[in-house]
Amino acid sequence: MTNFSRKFTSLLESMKSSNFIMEDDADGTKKERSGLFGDRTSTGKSQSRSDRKEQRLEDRFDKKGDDKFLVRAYIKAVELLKDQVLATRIDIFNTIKNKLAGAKYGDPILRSADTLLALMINLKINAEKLAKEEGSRLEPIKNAEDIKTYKSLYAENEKEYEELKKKWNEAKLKEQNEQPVLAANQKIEKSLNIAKKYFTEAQTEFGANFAQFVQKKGEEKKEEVKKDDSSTATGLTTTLKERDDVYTGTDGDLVKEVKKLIYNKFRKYATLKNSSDWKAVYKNWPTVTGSLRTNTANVIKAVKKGSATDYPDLASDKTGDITPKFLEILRGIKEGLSYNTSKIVSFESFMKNRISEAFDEEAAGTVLSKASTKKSKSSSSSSSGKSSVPSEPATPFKTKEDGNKFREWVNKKYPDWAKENNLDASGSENNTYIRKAYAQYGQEYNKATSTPEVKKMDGKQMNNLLAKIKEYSKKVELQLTTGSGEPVILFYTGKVYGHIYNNYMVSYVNTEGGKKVWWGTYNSEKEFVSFGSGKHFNLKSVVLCSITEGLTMTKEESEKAAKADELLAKMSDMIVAKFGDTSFWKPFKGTFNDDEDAAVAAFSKWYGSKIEDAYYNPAINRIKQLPTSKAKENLMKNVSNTSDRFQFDKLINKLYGSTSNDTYKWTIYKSNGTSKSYNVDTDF
Amino acid sequence: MNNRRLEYNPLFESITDSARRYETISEQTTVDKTKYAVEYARRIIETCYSQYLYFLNSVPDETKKNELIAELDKFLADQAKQPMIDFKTFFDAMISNIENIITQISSIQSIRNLENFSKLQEIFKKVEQGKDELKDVTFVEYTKQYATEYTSDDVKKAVGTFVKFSSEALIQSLAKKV
Repeated sequence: MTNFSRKFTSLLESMKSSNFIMEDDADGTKKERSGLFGDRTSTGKSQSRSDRKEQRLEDRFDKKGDDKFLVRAYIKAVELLKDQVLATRIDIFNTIKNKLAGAKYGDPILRSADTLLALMINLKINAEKLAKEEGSRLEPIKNAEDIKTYKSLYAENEKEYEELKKKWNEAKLKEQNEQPVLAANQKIEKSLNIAKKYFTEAQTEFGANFAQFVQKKGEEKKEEVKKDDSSTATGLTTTLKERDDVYTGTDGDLVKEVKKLIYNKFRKYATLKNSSDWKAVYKNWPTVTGSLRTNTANVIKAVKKGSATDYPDLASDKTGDITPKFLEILRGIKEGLSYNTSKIVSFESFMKNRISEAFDEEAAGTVLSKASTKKSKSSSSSSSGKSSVPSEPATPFKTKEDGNKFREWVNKKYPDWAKENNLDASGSENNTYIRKAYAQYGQEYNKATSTPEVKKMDGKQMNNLLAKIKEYSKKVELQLTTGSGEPVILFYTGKVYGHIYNNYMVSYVNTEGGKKVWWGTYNSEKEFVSFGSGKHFNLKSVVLCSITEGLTMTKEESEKAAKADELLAKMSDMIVAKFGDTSFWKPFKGTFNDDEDAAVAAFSKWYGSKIEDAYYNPAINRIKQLPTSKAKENLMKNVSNTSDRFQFDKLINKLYGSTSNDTYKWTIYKSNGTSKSYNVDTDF
Repeated sequence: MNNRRLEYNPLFESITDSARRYETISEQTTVDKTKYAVEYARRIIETCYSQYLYFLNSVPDETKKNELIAELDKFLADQAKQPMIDFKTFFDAMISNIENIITQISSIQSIRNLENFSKLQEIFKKVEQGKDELKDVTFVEYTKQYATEYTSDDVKKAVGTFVKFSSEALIQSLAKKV
């Protein structure tokens, strides 16, 4: 009520007790009548101004003892009720606008108020029409049907209004009730943080002053006895470091165990098996020694690097040391309590504790190559995401199925080669094994299976592409694959890199928090790269390595974002079409000037049934479910923080003709950062 | 409604539909409160438990440490026998455990002989302050706010799950020692 204008307050004042009459009931007793004849405000206060209004309204349309139906009094009563509805509507609108208690649940009630308002206006117009046609007083007998209808309509509208007010009050109360819940949570949260602060300070000081009692993480304390969970679990009490003399006793046994475990679990990976380090360590297999020298350390480094994706604990361990953690992982035993961090391991990490099947050979090979040949390229920064030069170009296979068909073909036609080169009949469509096979047998396979020849860029085209990319980024190099010497363009930034191959295949790799690889195809005409799940990014974004987030979303999340795009676009198209549908607006034109109120009511109903629950709400729900990402950030512009986003209330206000400009414009923001604007002329 | 003078048919049905949307309001409030109650119960006991583990791991005397681990093991195992555990019971027990671990560490002679033992007492005062904050403010606010919910089956189940999981993890950890 605080938002009412003086005029509305005055109007509401005028309603107080104005309809408060007593009538004889069937049993002859005096009884208060409710509804139209009752006291809407129930204040019962006697105020001079109200009293005066009351006097003026004594000529009410069915005044007791009068045998006429007074249409003008009826119109006045309808108008007063309409003003009440309008006042409530304004209250709801302002509450939503100012985000006061009730705003959260206000939208549908606002629409109900709009509809009811339209009904009241319509009723008033029809009553005025009636007054013109039949005069200001209706004969009870002659116009019995009309009188009954009008009385009944008034009563129903009044009832609807009472229900609407009740719902609105409940909604406000509901949100008011919720706020204390959040406020109380803040108290709990604050107190919990204070407690944690004390604990953290205590732990920090304890660690600083009584370091001898605190377990150290990883490599911080060299050669120191480790008493964390891993040490107790593995029986390894020290971190075994690289040294010239051979470990003996228990430590020697542990080194041997590690070597055996590595052999058994990782010998299937050619990158490791073919390295000079591996050959040196396992030259007398199955006999292994307790030595932990450079070769063994390099093999351990490679295993750690290759397993880092599945075991983030290993990602930061660049050493060739045998740590309790490494031994624990190698043994594949399940995690227990992580005493170092005083945390209970998460269920996810609990379940994930298995030896990786997704061993990253390329990463492992990088370590081995650097370690054993000592020929790392000076231009390659070890701290960046730059990769080693690929040995073979990427395959043209876009799906695993296509890759498997080729794998099967090679395994069938060249079983010896497949066996010797560890090419399984199923697997990745673009790892080193299949690439090597494709370089060897790709052409033959294409001919045998009538697969169209793979399109390749020639040297000139590659140079042109390189020049174009260099306009976008300086972190670009033209390389030649080490195996077949084919040109490949490397682009990199920070921990992200990728290659554009001469067969238009594009790899995009993010090494942050574990290596992830995406494969795409470069479209030279449109200058974009298409990745799986229908994701397209322009070449510039790709080579600037700024698309990780867009690629990171799961298929389901991408589908959600795409669906939200689709729903919002479809919704907008439908609204535009509706405003172009003259037959829809025709009933509201002409007869009594343009009937905006009825039009609003009809449009609100159409919107509620055809748009809101079918398009708008599903789109918004999907947007809110998306993980934090650029796509979500883009889509959220349809929800908040943009003045030109679609807002039903603004459209309705335009439809009411409450602004000088009748065109309502809005913009739909899509997940890929693009946007589309729509507009409708609300002056139907 | 079908009066010849009323060409426009009012849309009461739409209003009724709108009104129906509010029927679930009270139900949602209950669900939300229970959700918060479970979440805070979990965070409070996790804070207690992680604090306890930190100092448990810092006990320098292996014999004493093993005794305490065995106590924790038994405590968790006993609790884990119940599918649902009362939040207050578990919270009180964890607070008591924290008090106990501080007393135990402080009573170790080799620690008492340390030159900077007074510093340790200062540190343990902070632990006491943290513990008191949890006990006197966090717990009080929590049980006041979620007076009904904190004794609900949802919260009991959440505490039960936490204990069961912690117990399993501890058993595995102990098994690995062998």
